[in-house]
Amino acid sequence: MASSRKITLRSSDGESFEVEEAVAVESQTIKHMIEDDCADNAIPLPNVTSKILAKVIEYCKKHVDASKAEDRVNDEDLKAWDAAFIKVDQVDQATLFDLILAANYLNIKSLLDLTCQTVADMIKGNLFPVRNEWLNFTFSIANRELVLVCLTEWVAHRRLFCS
Amino acid sequence: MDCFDFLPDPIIIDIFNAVSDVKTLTCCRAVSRRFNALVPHADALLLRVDRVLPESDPDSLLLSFFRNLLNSVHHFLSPHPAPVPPNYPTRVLRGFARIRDLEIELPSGDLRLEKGTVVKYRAVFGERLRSCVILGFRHWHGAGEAQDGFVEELKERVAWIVSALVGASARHHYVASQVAREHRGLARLAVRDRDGEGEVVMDELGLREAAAAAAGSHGEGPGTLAVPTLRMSMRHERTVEIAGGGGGARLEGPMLVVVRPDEDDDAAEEDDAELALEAFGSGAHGEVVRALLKSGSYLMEMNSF
Repeated sequence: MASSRKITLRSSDGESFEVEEAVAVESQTIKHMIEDDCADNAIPLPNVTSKILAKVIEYCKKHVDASKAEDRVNDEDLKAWDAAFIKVDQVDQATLFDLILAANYLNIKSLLDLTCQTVADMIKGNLFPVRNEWLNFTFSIANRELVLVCLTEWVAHRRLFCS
Repeated sequence: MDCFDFLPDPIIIDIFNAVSDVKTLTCCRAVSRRFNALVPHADALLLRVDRVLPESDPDSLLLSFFRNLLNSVHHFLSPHPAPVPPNYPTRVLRGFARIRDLEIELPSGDLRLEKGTVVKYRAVFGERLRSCVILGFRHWHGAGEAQDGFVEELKERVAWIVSALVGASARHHYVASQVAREHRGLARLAVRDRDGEGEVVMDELGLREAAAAAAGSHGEGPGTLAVPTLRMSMRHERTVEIAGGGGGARLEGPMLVVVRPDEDDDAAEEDDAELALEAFGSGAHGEVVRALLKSGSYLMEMNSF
């Protein structure tokens, strides 16, 4: 059994978080840093604020615990937890997008997949107001038929979509 | 929408792949210049077919249905602006640079079955059929014991098997292989329907096989369907009780058939179970499949029909 070494992570705003190594290495980025022996002191994460880092750690901890034999959580329960975890952020879109960036920077594939899928579901569910650059008014994607008719004409004639 | 400005391009493309739906993605192109540039790079797509164009003069019901379907899908996929009404689906798939993973969802199943009968299949194709798992049963009407004779039951089962095989072959011949021919970059192609009746899958190996064969035959149009000699193992029971969601149910005459072309001899019992569970194990019918896998199997052979 690997020893549960503690790793310290420092957010961009200077806050320190102590986590078990098993949780920290859910992030491939941190894993490589540890392997390259850069982790003696705190690992600085200049791209991640403390608010977001706290959430990331919460996610990683849950997923590490879920796969341990003692606390074995079945897949459905874990998925439900994931849904609840991310739902809070649907209200606050900025946090959701910050999580995407953090998951990308820290290279945590499952969190990146979860957050990207959440955004995709919001796009499918018309939850983003759309601002069209040229027409300069806001309308929801519920007006998709109008958009689509205009769009196909533009694409066909390639007038406005020049690189 | 400013949130998207901070995301790098590869992540936006990942989000588009998670969206998958071709119509939604086409709408996304109207959002911004950046989205318009990135949507064509989405490579995992789901194309929902709304309806099939009506046909004037049906000879064989099933085959004419598929000819119509081919027309509809060709409208979606043809790179050449054929003389067809300019519905937007024609242009929609053209907007994607290189499709790697495509799922086509047809509006409904094609098998014409008696009420209360359920037949589902999952067929894997290369240039021809590589394997097919068929699950069939009748819902219990609750009106006493249905004591059909053995021969009657067998006839009904053979009818189920034949319908499923014809359905799968037609879907492959008229839809999947035509699409595969037009989009060489595909690594996976699946044609399924909204009723969940059948799925025709071509994986990477199958697509390569089909491409090689097409290169040899210079891409003729759809001619007659050829179904090779098939070997199948069938498992069936009189009735099966399943727990299932909602208080349990009783299924009459459930049958599980695993079909393979009569070429290799090394198909062992385990492979049947693997295929069956891959096809139906995780869905609503997993329980029936597991129950049927426990019973012994019969081997049958079917020549081309």
